[in-house]
Amino acid sequence: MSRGFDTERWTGLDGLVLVAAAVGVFTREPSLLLAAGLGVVVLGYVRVAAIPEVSLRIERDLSDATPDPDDEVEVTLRVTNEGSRTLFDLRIVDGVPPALGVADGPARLGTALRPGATATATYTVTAVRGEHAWEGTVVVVRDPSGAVESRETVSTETTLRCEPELAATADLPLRGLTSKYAGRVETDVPGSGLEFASIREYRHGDPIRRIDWNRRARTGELATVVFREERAASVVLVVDTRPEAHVAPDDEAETAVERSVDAASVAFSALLDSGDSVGVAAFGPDECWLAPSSGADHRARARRLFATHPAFAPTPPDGAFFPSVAVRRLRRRLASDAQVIFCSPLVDDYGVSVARRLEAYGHAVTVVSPDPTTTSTVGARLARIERDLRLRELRRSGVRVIDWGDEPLGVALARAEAGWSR
Amino acid sequence: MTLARRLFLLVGVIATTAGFAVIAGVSLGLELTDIFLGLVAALAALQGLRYVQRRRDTSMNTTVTGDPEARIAVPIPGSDFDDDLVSAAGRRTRWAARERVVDRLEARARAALVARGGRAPEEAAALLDTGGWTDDPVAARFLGASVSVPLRQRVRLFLSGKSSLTDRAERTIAAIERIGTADGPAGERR
Repeated sequence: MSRGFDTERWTGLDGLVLVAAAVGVFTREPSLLLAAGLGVVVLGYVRVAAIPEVSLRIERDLSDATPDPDDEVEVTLRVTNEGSRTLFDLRIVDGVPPALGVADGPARLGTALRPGATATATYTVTAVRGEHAWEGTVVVVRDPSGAVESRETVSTETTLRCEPELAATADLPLRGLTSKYAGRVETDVPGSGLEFASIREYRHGDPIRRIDWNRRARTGELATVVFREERAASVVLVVDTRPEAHVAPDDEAETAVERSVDAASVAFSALLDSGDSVGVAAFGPDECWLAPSSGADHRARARRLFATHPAFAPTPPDGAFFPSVAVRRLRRRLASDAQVIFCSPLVDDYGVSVARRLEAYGHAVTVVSPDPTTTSTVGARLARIERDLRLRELRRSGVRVIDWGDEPLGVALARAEAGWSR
Repeated sequence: MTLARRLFLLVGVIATTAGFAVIAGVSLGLELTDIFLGLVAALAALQGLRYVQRRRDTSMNTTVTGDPEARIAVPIPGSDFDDDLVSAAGRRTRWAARERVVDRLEARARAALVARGGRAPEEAAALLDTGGWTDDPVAARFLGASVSVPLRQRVRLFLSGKSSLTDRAERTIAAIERIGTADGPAGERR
């Protein structure tokens, strides 16, 4: 990098020089001619202006690389000039991850830097759930006159990983959410259990306890008693991560997808604690599927998934998405008796149709809907009405809906449960 | 370098050399008379003004950095409707956007009459036609009912500057919000 690009900052000075000279000649005013001569010197300087070879070392330190949500993390950016020439005008803008907001101090630096010298910029970001990688730092160097400028991007790998604990809030009345179906459900599959199903011929390896001794005494044949197999309910948490779901009431607020993932992670933990087997799926361009299971390993896997899977990132996805294909794929993956908890802001009609279709295929669907609407604009007021109508439509078609406003999720659940039990 | 530019360069170099020569006292048949100087100055002024003019057409070419401190901005729900209202004020997109606005509001009013007002779908359509679904004549008119707005109210609207499409859409939305609540006429049935 030597010349950079022309900023056009001094373009037109040549015109001024000529005009000054001409006026000087007309009016016989030597000072004007002198000024024109000065202009010629500046023009000559601008003509030869160049930017020295820029060689910078950029280091970034985080005060805590694995913070909890809402923690403030101090970021220190250290820039060292490793080149042999002084950089007179150095501007640095750090590539803060798009999902992180800077709470304090600008994430930039403007300075002159002698060879070997180091400049430091410090700012604070507020951590949110997810894995956030810093983007390239933009380095802008200008010569002292500002005639030429160069811009390049230096990447320094830094990652902030914020994985919230999957601790269910103690008073989360989730039982009400699934009690109708959850716990141990009996199936028509023969196997071990409590309720008698049938008697079949003895096969080698059947447990002695289950041999029907009465029949053995009566007829001399060996037979095995078969019971109806019991199985814990499997619940799949489906999070709406379509681009349409990436909405927020204002710039500062959490997006609907972030709240949906929060709701899903809380529900995951609570359901797992109550003995259900729980799975996770994303309904969006980025594929994500965690088959229903239980146990500590599963909990750890889910925790990592919620925090770091790109599907659950707070930034809108940009891949192509074919919703009907995604619904079909989701249906294939869901066991026939699986219940679905669908977390969606319901800001468009497709979310409603997904919930209704899953319900129609025989899955018990509960929709947890974080409310992202506001009343700040005319369109926003209409969006609120539309969402309200969608919730009513869903409720009418027998889908349980939890409308989650600004209150804590537990409060919304309790209120919804009170409505259901009436 | 094109031929013309080379020629100009040659002329420039010769003129500069000749100028220095004249100053040094070499007579080239040119005297530094007022007329000659005036001619040179006029040429310089002309060219200078040309350069200045060129400056006015070029913009500064400098790096513009974004706003990395801010979180990524996601739209607020309903921003598409706001966009429609804006394009309904534009010259080329006016009719299509206007139609979208009215159609959408009408569909929502009908849905609200059914879901919140407890009306049958046919009844809701009839109410929208007659304007009986709301007590706001502006809203009723906006959704196609032939209700006349009283002259006094019309004058007042006109004078207050609240007769734009956005204002009428807002009044319609407010009327839809009232459906099914105690203060709307459609809610009396409940």
